[in-house]
Amino acid sequence: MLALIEFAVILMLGLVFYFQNQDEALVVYCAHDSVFSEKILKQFEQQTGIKVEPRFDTEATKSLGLTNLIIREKDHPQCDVFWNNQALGTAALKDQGLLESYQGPGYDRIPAAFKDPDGCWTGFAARLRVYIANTESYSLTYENVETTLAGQLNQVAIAKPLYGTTLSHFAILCDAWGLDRLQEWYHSLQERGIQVTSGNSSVKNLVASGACILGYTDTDDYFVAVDAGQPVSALPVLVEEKALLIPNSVAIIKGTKRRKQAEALVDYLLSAEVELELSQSQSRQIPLGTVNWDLVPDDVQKYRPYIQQAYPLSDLVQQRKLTLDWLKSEYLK
Amino acid sequence: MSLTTICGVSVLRSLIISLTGVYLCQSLSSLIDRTESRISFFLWLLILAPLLVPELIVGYIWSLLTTQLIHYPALAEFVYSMLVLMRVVPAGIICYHMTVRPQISAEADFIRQSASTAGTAISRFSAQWNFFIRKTLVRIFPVWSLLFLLAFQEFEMASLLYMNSWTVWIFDAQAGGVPVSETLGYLVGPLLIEFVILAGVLYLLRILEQRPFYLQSPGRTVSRRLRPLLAGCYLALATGCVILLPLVMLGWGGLLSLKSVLQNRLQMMGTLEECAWGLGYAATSGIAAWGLATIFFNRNQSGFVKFLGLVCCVPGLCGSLTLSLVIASLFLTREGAWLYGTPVPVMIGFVLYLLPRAVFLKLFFQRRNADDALFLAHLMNQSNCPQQAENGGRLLWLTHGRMQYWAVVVLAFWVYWDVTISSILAPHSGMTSAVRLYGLMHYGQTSVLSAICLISFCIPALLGIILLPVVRKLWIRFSSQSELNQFV
Repeated sequence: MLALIEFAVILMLGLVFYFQNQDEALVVYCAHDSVFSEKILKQFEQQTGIKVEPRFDTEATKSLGLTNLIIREKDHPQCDVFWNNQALGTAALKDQGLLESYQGPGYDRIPAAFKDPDGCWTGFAARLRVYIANTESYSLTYENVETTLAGQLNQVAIAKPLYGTTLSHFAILCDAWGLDRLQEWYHSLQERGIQVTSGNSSVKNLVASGACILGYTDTDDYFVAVDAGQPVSALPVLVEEKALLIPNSVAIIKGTKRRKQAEALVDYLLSAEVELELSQSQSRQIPLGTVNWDLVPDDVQKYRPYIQQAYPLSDLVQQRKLTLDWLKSEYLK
Repeated sequence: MSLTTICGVSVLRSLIISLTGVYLCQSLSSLIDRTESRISFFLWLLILAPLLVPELIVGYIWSLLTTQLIHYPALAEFVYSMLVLMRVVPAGIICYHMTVRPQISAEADFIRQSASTAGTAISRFSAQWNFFIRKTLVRIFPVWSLLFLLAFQEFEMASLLYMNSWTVWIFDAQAGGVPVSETLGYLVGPLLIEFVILAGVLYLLRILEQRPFYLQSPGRTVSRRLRPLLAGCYLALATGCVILLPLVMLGWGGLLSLKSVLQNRLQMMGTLEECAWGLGYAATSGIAAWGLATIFFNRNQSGFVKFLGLVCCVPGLCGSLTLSLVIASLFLTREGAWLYGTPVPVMIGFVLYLLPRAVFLKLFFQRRNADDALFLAHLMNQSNCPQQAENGGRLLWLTHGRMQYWAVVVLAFWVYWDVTISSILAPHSGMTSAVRLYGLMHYGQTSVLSAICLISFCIPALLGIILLPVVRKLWIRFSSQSELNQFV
């Protein structure tokens, strides 16, 4: 048995040296679904010859997993480029001084509402926050939603707002309404029996299966249900007449030793080619920059007007922090 | 809900699950005893099969099936508890069969029962209590403890089914950005509960080591008529809920899309590479954890070393999430940073995660091993006559080696399907297939998921079977003198 342990130790040491020698690859932390992002990163490798070593987020650690990881690693940065599936978490990293500025050609093609004025992060290919409803039991209109949300809510679902895009949604509400009104609203939802679930995909499952008639989710989860032939419809959530577009975001991590390769990847991700590809993928992301809209699928094209009507995200870091502090006091007693 | 309340809920749930589990283990054991040896192999296979279906797959399938239960929290709690029960009972039944023999002979028990009506001293409460401890508690307490710990630590199914559990609470705290140091403060309560139970088992085993055992068949128990019936019903339910349902829901789609996955070179290579990493972590950490358990809890080891072993078990009892976060923090200090991004943190994480489980298995094996028979087999193995030595090696394999092999396989299996430790500690290019599967589940990629699941499942299963004769051969050849020394 001891001999086997020795063997294991030797093997481990060998692997240590192997990994220490492998430092030429560009390390990308990617919170976007690996199903879609892996292909794009491979294409980048093929086009540029730059080797990419991705680390994907999982539902097990949520999108906050990689953001927290970058914060924990700040003294020994491992990541060169962060591809986040939302923008406010990335903006919070800028607030902590963990991002480097870069304003390349990709930065210029993205509207100002979706990027950092200093160029520390840039948004691209967005999801839309939507009401999802079961078409067999609910007719989805803004009037019906208003009526439903004014009554008992045990047939309505929302994801736990501690993480993910629901946290971004709450941060926007905090900005639009103020924290007091947000707290009052959420407490009212809870008192009237809203079903709080683990994530947006659970909300989609609850509504698609008919367990709930209405829920808050994102377009990517909604399209999963559509592709599975489930009876669902969606309507954008509006706050102060503005839509909640949650873009992917890309940023270069401070302390990167591969700055040139990192810039090349940022330019590639912010290109029209990638935005188009993400719009054609199963998750149907909405292109934010200029693209040939004829090549964008119809079910994404219908959301095009909301790009002009989107809630600006570039200055919400303080609201996110306020919201998160309050939610922690609610959930982590 | 506060952490204290959630801990209370988790304890209550684990208590009910573990007590029910112990009763089921006894029932299943009596069913095995009644069955002919030829059929009992298949019965064992059926009982243990739920262990081979990964938690994340069971959780995922049932999260889809139980969406309607959101309006019936009590029913949802019942379904979750039943699933946890079905997942932990196979581990319990292994332990039940390996645990110590009762210290009361059948004859003594018969005399007690006959004399108890006559108002003799043997019918007093203290005497009855002694009988209960030496006949029943000695056998069920370690099994109950194992079932309690496994149920109490459960995370992935609780998370997927959105159940209240202290492990999910800790996860939420982390996702909310609570510093690791604060998380450690939250852990004191749950850890204390686990530690008390583990200390109880060790105390009991230590007391029992000093008492004599009677040569008797440990398996034969007088069983009531209803027990085999109950065991049969349980087996049917467990097979249906934990094996057939997930296999049917994933298997069909898997076969349909297997061809497309096999043709997708990028996906296939990625899957194979991740399987290889998973197997590498699983095999090395399984062997290392087993080896450490052997070193720390060898019967001739000093009390201090055993205490040290117990201390090393504490990190594994914290749950995979906290363990990996603490290890990640340690490797992000100036001293540990050079090893960060290598497989060392993930290996350490897995070994520490497995150690309490390995110790449990080790202690059960130790109690089960017949010293005199083992000693004779070792002597035979040392014989100058090659044929005798080989026969000794074969005997050693049958009495000792085979069980160790399967113990390591079970430990490796737990690692292979772990998501949390891999996703936090594994190096970027050394991720395991379980992490990819978890992502696919979230995004509803059912057909691709099924095919990759099938591949990821078949590779280790086949390898486990293929390696058995190879390890057997090596074992017989290299059974060493050092193992003989512990008997001298």
